[in-house]
Amino acid sequence: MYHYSSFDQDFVNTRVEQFRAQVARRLDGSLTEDEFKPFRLMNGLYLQLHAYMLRVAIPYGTLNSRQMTQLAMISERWDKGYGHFTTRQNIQFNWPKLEDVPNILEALAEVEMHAIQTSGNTIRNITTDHFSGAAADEIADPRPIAELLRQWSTDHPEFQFLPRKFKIAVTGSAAAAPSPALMTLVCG
Amino acid sequence: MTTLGGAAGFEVIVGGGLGRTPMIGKTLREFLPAADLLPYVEAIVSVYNLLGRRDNKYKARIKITVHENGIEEIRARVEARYARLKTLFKGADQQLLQQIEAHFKAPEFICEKAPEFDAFKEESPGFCSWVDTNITAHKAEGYAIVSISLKKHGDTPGDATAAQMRVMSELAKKFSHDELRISHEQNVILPHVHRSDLPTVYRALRTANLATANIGLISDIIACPGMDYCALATARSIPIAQQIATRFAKLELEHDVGLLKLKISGCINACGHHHVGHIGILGLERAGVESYQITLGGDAGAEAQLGTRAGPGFGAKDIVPAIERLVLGYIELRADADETFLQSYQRLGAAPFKALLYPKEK
Ligand code: SF4
Repeated sequence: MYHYSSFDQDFVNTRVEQFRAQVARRLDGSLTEDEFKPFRLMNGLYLQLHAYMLRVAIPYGTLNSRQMTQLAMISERWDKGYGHFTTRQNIQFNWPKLEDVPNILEALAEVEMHAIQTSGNTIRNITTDHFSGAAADEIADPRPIAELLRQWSTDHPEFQFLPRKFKIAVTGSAAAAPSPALMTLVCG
Repeated sequence: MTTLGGAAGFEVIVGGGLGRTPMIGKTLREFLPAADLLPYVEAIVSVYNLLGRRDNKYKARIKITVHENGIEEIRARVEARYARLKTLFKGADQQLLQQIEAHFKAPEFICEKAPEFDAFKEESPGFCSWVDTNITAHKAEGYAIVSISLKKHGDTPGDATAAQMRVMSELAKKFSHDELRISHEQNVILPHVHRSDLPTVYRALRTANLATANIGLISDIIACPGMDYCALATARSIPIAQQIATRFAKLELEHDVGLLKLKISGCINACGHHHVGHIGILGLERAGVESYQITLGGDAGAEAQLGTRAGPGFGAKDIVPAIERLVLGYIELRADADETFLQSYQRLGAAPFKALLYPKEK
């Protein structure tokens, strides 16, 4: 499984601190909700029917045990004791309080996770087959490619304000393949 | 040049997507050499960035850009941009990819027989049924892929409690080389479990209410958050999923029904992928009341197919009985027990299924 380089880690930590300052300005009233909106959307924080919702990226759907334990801790400490796994291989917390979100992001950064580019008109979390690296009928493991795309797309200066969100999936599954030597890359 | 563990490169597909204007993607390039991935993807996104519409957010996704400009025009622009970008990538991306690949080396698998597995299979029918539905073949002999269902009948699809997350984490650590996966079908996967550990894993999952044997069955429903959470929703989706699952658990028929993908969205944005459900349900609002529209024959498999609308919507009270009529009727219609719902639908066409949904008044 991929582990953050110091570059990845520094980037994620910096974003947590930036967002902490933005939240503080929202809470003391120096930012209106409208002014705050682009900042929170850059960090996966939506405003839903009843509460804020934080969408956390699970890059290409892969987690280790430490990360899963941390998600459990977050759901207990700052949410209602559960999380919702989505069709885009992410997890959503449905009831976080705004003042807690920077701490949640810090707890995620501790285990090499973040909520960056899980909303907004950017390249979203890269998805792959959930059996990659294990399936009997696989052409190749698509996760290294997905990780390469994650690094390339994260904070890509040209692609932070696309016309609309952009989704990429890579699959190495033989069932989906046009030819037994090819993986499939899907952009939508 | 990288070989991607055996694959020579990619077929690149562009412009597919669900949402309010569902479209099947088109092939942009039949063969892209593995090493040219980043310049090519960068070319696609930058062409979209300039060409995609910014005047109407409902026409802004790349599927519309492709639809309005035509795939040839998009291809010509992407190729031109790619030709320029390619010279700027001087191999740093390939070096990085090699470093990344080292992180994903397969764990060391111990290939041996699993006597515990066979013994336990004899004694526990619950385990047998779980193995039938929730286990997938692994590439290493003696191993299995375990799908943990987050679709216990009556629960919210995709939800896991903190205690359940800890159980799954613990099992991954002990029995799955420290790895978990999240599937787009909202379940959790233990990708590398030795078959001799399956009985232990099963027992631990059962204690945590995580051993529901329903992967791929009608109660393994994809449902978006809908009106219970989502600001854009026009109807509830979670309660409908819960009622359908509970009803079919009670009927004890879902194993007989077999493979059936049911997907529910709470508005036309289609986060629940209803367009590609064998049975899709779309929750709308008509004059202040919820109305559920059924689509039939969708398929998210290799032969991607969008479902077709069956007819007028059903009220919140009528949707579960309608699904029940449909599925019970399919059991009568199918050629034999191996013919899935989708296969029957493809063989017979929509008419007999519509007749099940909208019976003539006697
Ligand atoms: S499909 Fe469901 S989750 Fe998506 S926007 Fe509509 S109600 Fe919300």
